[in-house]
Amino acid sequence: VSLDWPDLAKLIEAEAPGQVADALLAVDEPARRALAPHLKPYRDELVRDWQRRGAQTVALRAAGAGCLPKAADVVSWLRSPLLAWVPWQADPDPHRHVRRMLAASGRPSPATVARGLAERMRPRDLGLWDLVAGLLVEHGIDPPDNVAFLRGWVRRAEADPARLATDPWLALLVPRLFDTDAIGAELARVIPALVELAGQGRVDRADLLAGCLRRLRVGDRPTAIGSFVELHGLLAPTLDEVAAHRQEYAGLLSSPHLPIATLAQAALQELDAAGRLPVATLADASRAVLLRPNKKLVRTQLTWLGRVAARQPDDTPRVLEALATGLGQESVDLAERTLAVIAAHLPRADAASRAALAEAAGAMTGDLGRQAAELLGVSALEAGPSTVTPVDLPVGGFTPVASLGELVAEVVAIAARGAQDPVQLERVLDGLVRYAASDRDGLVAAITPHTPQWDQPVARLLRAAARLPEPPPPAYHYHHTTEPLPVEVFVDGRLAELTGQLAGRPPVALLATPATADGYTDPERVLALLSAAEQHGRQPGPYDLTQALLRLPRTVDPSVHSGASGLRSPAGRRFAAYLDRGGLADPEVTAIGVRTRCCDGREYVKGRFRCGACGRVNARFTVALHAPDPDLPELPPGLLNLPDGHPARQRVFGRYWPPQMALWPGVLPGHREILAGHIQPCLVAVGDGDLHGYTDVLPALARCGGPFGPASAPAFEHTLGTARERDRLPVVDALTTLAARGLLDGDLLGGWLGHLVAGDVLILRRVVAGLTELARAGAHGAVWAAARAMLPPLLRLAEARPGTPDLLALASAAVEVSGERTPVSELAEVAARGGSSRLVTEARRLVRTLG
Amino acid sequence: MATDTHRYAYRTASTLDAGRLTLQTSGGISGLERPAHPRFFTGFLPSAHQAATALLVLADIARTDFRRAGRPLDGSLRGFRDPIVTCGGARLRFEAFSACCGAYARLDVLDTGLDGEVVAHGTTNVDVNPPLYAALTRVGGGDPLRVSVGPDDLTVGTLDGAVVEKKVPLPERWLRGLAEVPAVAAGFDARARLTAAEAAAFLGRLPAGAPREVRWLVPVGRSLRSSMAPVPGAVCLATPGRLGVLRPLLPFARALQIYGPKVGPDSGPVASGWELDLGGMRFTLLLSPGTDRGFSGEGGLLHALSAEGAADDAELLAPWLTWDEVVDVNALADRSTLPPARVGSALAVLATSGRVGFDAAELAYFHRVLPFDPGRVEQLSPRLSAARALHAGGQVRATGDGYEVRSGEKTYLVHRTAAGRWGCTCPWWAEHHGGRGPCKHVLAATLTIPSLVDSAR
Repeated sequence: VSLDWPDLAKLIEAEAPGQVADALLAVDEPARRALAPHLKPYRDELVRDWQRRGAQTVALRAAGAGCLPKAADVVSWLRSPLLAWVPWQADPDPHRHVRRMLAASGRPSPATVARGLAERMRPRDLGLWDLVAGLLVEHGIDPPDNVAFLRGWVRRAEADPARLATDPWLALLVPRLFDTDAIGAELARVIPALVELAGQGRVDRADLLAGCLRRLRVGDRPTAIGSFVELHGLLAPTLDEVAAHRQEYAGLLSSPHLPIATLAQAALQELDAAGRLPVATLADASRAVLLRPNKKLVRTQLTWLGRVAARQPDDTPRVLEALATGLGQESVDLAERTLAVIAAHLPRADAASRAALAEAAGAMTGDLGRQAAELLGVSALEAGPSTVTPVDLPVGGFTPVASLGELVAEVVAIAARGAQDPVQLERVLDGLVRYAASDRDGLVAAITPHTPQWDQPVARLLRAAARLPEPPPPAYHYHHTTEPLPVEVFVDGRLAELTGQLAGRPPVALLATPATADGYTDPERVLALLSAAEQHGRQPGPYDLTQALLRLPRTVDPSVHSGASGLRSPAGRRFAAYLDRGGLADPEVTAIGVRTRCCDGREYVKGRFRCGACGRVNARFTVALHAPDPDLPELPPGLLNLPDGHPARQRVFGRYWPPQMALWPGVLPGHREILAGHIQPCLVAVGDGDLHGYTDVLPALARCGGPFGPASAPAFEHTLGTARERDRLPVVDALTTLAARGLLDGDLLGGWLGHLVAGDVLILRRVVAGLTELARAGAHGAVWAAARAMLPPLLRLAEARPGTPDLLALASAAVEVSGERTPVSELAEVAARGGSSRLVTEARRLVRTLG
Repeated sequence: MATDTHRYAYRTASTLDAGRLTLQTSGGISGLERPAHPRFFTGFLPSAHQAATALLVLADIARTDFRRAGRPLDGSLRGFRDPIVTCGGARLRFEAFSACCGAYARLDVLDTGLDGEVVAHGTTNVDVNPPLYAALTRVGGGDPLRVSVGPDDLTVGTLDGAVVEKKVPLPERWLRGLAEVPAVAAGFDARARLTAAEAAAFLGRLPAGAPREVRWLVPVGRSLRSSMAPVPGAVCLATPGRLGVLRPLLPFARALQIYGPKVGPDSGPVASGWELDLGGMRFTLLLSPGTDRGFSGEGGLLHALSAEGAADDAELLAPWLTWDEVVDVNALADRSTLPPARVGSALAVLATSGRVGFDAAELAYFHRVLPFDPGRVEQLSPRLSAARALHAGGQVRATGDGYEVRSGEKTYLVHRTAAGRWGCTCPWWAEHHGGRGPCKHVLAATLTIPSLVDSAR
């Protein structure tokens, strides 16, 4: 009998592994080996046809196992990435033909093949797991220490937990479940089966418990941890077991995973109830728990400590020492509860515990500090006066690029990331204009290799500076679905103007180049440049002039006025006229509410600002503003005029994704109100919707000049409601800057916040988290003013919003430091309510603090 | 990136039996010798529970890769680098470096906490294995922990020749990062000190996830406030969740001291130091400026390395280092007859070759020789090698206001920036603006004209 390659290829093509094996078994070993060289080219031809390749994979595997000469060849053939995918097979054990081949005489040793496959198993090879495991069992080889192999074992056990009872590798592989990362997430059905086997004595229960505790101490992903917590619950350790692992449980109390700390606390509590927990371990455990931010855990610990103190009078001093730690709790209600437990057991304190308590109480301030001082007979710490630590710095001057090399370095940065830094962009514009005037050829040679190819105003400008032709428009046009906003129109207009100039006759210098890092132009420089241009008969670009005027400081020296009045060119006369008008006046601002129809076309219901059906906000607040026309024709319509009505609805509901706003503060550096009117509508969804990020523009907005008025306040208050802390911190930074400059008006800030929270637009807890951070920065006066303005609408609600007690606690702390004690009318009514809910407790504390 | 394998050979596994911790050693240096299993100390560490917890946290950091959401890679402790122990003066220092090269931890057992006999001085690796880890979790109580670093006399006699072998990958990045840590720490100032309660509250407030977050912590009164902008005096904390590894030590802490380098409004993320005062011990954690940014790429001392004189001084100085608690610069200057200022920069060069560490709490270097192949540790600056190649190839040419460096097909302009430093037009510089040391082009220019070194810093 002979077999030639075309015959074998036909059988492979017929997707018939059984026939492949039959045919190969019918010939002798030399004949099989003679066919081996054909296999690889055949497989490689299928590289583009994944369906055929998949369908023939099992036959190809059988053929490889039957022809290839060495064990290593068979291993790499079976692991080949091209033969990794097999479609669903009707045959429950398609690989039996591979086994038949390997068992044939003259073939490489199946044990060697199995060992090679097992040791080098990757997640991709799990399709071979049954084959490998079968061979290993058959030849009595232990499974390798390989994570993918273990995962295959777990998956088989998950599919059929009952077979674990007869699994030959049970004792060997179970301990590895605890030593392998993330495998816990796949143990849903294995864990009950293991516990059952432990009950029957098939698995060592002590090993299970020790492994479980070890893994809980080491930590893992939350889903994986969940399995081990469940295992612990199912094992239900006996008192003897908990006693033996007492120290491990105490160590688990520091776990970042709350369920782990909770189970450890419960286990130790049971041990204590049986009278088997030394008080020293309890004290250690309490030190780990009492300062945790998890309220329930801390409350349980306090109750437990109280119980122990009452039950074991001899140990009370040690319990009191442990309780002293709890006085350092950041959460005032938990610290107060600690104090109550201490008060109940203080009579049995000895000298050492009294000293520990006094030391802890000495570090407390405020209402609670006074309570502790009174109880323990120490003097209370006065909350010192505090100053706001500014987050911004004295602004330096604008430093132009010092060399062509530095200009190129900045161009490289912009080409890589776009223009995201207004100072960097101005340095590049200034540098391009200066070097275009002095050494155009050098400039072109230096920046040509770095010009970007994308289609954006900045990229076009850089290409014009390098004298590169504009590429033909792309065949596919991206259509903007949103109209560009007025500030964007102006920024792009200025860049387009300079692009044209660089492609033709470049200007000598830019009027709008700022003189300070916060973006103001120097009036004297503008005057000097305009005079020089007049003498040489040049006209500055109209956008450049307009931007230079918008960037003038809010007050201009009279000498510049008189100098400007002498100018005769059109640009000079516009400069003089602008100065005579007193520059750009602050706008008139009106706060407005805007409604929209929501998902089901339902109209807004009075007092509710969220749709009852989909939960989205259907009424938002913004401002309409109008600044007097400064007679600058290049200003796009709408830059200084944000009307009410339909345009307002467009602003707050018309678009979801905010534009890139980093360059905006540089357009109007002295007019925070106007900028805020443009920026606030872009950020509403960050505060009340599901949009993240984009708040980085707010610190720059806060650094702008001009008053903090009714247009600025909503930009900062709405964004305080953002979900992520990292988006809220820039808002707090901005508010801190304003507070450090004495501009932050807490009443204005809090006035709308109360209504936004009461109308369910913003989530109170998030706002309070932001205000807490602001208080930490030292702006206690502004925080108290904001809280005072927020409280009336919040306390009038029938159902208090979650976080109201925290706001009251924050207000108490702020009053304590700022010393401003203005009463709040609604507070007395809440404080007079009965009961000991947190709302009432904190209201009473605020009343006490207000005196 | 080159990855070699390091082979630890211990006489037997480290054990904790009947309250006695025996840490087995492998390689390194003892005094002037290089024994296979150095013996440094037998005696007691203060408070068993506290010492055991500190060693556990150290082991946790050694096998954690914070790039993978801060989870330990493998609960079995397999395949990770063992802690390094240094015994200098009457002080034991245990060092560990994370698998992601972005977190460095050191446990200093101070003279006041150490009670026992110092047998010899030097540096070695100590074995930490899963049974030992599990045994350490069972230690409790405030009694001293009996400990010996190095094989004790009994096993020396009975187990001659037998070894427990561990093979671990030793990536170049890891080794270079570990050598870079003292250079980073040497630039630190103390920024804030929190009480234990404030420290616990602060850690409790930090988000657990947020792998890409960089925040700046501003000391305010007794607490820290978070900001998103670098303020003078602020400490940078990148990936705040990484600090969570300190949690088990909080119940023992008396204070948390925080260190950071000088920052200004234009600063990018920088490294930070966190030191828990545990009484007789100090636990220090250094965090890199990001999880995706190990200490290996910081390049802080490249200028010092590129200056020929400093390297020579370092070689001159090395034999004079003694095994004291910390390096006394003045005494060293007397012994080696180098002026103290040059001793300072020579020590900085020695740091990058793994021959000294830096203790920010005492503002001093300490003698420690990384227990790895000395040849490998010394050749750890690919950027400097590349710069030397450019220099040797004559690719640097002076132009009017700077230098042109040809690298492959491209030409870069090394120039003076408005801030007075040297900059480059390569994409790497555009990305980091000198925040990770000079690029190879600036270094090549520096090599060409050595007088640039000072102004380039």
